[in-house]
Amino acid sequence: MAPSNSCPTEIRLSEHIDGELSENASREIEEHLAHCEACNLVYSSMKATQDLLLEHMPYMDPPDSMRQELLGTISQLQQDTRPWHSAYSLPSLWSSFRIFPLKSRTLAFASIFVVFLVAMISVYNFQRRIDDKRTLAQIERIKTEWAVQDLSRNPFDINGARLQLNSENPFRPYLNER
Amino acid sequence: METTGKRRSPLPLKKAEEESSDRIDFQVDRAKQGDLGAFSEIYDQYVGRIYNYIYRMVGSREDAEDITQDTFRLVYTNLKYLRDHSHFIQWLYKIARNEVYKNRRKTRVKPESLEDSSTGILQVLKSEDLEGNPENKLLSVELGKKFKAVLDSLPMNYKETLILATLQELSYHEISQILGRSLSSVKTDVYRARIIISEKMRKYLTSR
Repeated sequence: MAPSNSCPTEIRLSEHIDGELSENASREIEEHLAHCEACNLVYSSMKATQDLLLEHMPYMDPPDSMRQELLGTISQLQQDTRPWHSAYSLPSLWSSFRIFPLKSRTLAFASIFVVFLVAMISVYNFQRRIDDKRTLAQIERIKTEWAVQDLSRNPFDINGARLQLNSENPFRPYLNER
Repeated sequence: METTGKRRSPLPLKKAEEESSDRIDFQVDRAKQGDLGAFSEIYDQYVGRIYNYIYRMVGSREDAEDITQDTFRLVYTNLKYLRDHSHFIQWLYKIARNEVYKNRRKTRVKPESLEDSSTGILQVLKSEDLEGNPENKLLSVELGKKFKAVLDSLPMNYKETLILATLQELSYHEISQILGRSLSSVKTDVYRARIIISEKMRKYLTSR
């Protein structure tokens, strides 16, 4: 039977083999194939190709060794791409530290704490000494800024003291009044 | 005569292997953050398909293993650039395809021609009794070899499209996204591949 105008295109038959058509379209084609020899011939020929493919190229499981090898490589890639400082990050340090027994870890923490405490106290004392030195230096500077003749050691003693005044003397108005 | 248009599934269908777009999204997100466990899940889910696709394209187990490993290595390193997780499978196939073509450029394997292997089969057919089972089995094996030779003699785009549509069970739409070609071009290539194979196998079988 020669192909007629109602015959679907061969590409359409190919789509039907792959299940690409809608349900209605597939049903129409199946009904057509039931009575059209020409289309049936083409369809069977293409279907046979499909069957040969499925028969002679079956699915194969990939080898298990591939998985281990790949995950090992990727794990190595992860190590290589980490920034250098990430090896010293808290989580990685903690995970390295956790291999030691609990007693050793407690002793280590206590020692670190004591050392830290001693260091803090030392730093505090040192800072205080520096502050004291600064205060003394400041006082000396104030004394030299005030040029005093016949003064007692107390620069704030204005009774009977003649002050060599400079413009920055805050007591100037009081002395003028006297 | 079987008239159904539904494909036979060549892949083992297990419930655990059914794709869920939400699950893929979640796995890809975790894998992007460096979760090796999530990446292992992705690998387990897709390695079968990718390995079989690559093997069917290159024809060598060793090459298929190497290319599959390279593919997944590239998937891991480039996952951070993937924006649309819904097209993950297409993206995966694209990478695999690029690796296959890279391998082809390196090795330049000449496909076995039909003429070279046809004499072997004809000799078998002439000399052996064709009624018994061992001979039929031999014929089946030889037919398989001939069929593979015919498949390898196809232009690469026809062979690739046919494999993706038939053996990998991808829709034409997915194939067009992977290959970067139009839907009509994919339909035409699948059809032409079938016609060429049918014609060559018909000629071969009638010449026996």
